[in-house]
Amino acid sequence: MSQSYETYKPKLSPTWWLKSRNYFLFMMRELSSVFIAAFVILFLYQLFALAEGKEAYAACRDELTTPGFVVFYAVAFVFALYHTITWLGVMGRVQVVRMGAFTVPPKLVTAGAFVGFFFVSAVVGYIFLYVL
Amino acid sequence: MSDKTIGIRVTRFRPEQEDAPTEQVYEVPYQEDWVVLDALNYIKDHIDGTLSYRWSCRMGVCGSCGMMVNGEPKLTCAAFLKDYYPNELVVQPLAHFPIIRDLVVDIDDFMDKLKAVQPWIIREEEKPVAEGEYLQSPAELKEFKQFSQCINCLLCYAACPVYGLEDVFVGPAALALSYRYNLDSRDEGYAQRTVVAASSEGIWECTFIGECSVVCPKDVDPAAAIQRTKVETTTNWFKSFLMPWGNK
Repeated sequence: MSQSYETYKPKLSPTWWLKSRNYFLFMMRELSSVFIAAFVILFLYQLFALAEGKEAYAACRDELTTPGFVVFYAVAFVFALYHTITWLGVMGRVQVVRMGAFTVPPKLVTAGAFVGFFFVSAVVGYIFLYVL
Repeated sequence: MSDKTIGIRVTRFRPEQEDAPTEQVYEVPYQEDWVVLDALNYIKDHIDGTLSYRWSCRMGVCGSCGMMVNGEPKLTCAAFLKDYYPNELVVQPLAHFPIIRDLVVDIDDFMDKLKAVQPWIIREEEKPVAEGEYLQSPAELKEFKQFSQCINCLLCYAACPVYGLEDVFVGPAALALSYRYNLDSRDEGYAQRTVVAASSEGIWECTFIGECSVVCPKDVDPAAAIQRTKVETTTNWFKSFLMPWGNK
């Protein structure tokens, strides 16, 4: 559509995400993926070291248990938890679950997602702590 | 009228006399039952008749009086002065849109995008009028009713930083209305709308900040509509990939 009048187009400031709590929390959610990506890279590094043999893996573990990496893992864990909670928290709004003519209430879908998450986490935790 | 007053800091932009917006403060009487639109009308009627802004119904139906009130997108007919008094109130034009004059923004971009998603019932073949209406059950109506409440007030666009950064984004209201018509049991236009909705400028631009749904005065929840369209188009893509012989 053509326009025949002058307008002023405001520009969004680079610090827009600091102007509201919700925008800031959104940016933190986005930032969480950087930490998760770094964690995955370190995990792959461990797998490669494991493939190299016992000594290489032991050296890798020593390297990754230095204070700097421990702090990184703690921060990455907090970010991963935050990302997971916010992701599962919107499940009911995003995924419509139908059972025949009945539509499952969104809150129940969200609750189900959290129950599933805790159940799977508990199973994985049990396997790592008591089986392997 | 009470002796109390409240300061209203209003954005002024008169393209014939300035290159960029400025601000002007007006002192208006404070009434507990006044909304921001009442204050603007007082300015227009009693202080400065040159102030320009849009309004119509005064009851949250027409969607024309959307502005930024203290930095938040609001319908000024539903934002009460008492929620801001005694502090000065800042009233600006809706964010992310070009300003035409004072508090009036150019919404042509939105109108083009709205038209692009074809927010009306599309039929592959229209039946003759003599055959009557396209009937719908209450359950079928319930499927989309929430998303049909949109009044095109554009608060969602003003709350969306993605639209502010990339104005090619089709945007929350248009995508919610696209979803609304796709859910309508009488409609057969899914494929036509999806060309726009699922384009790189449509749903995939959305990063789910969710602020569009927070500011929506009608609880339409455009963010949910966009995410559900993502799930739906992805599922349909996988179906067409895995079962190319099946109907989408």
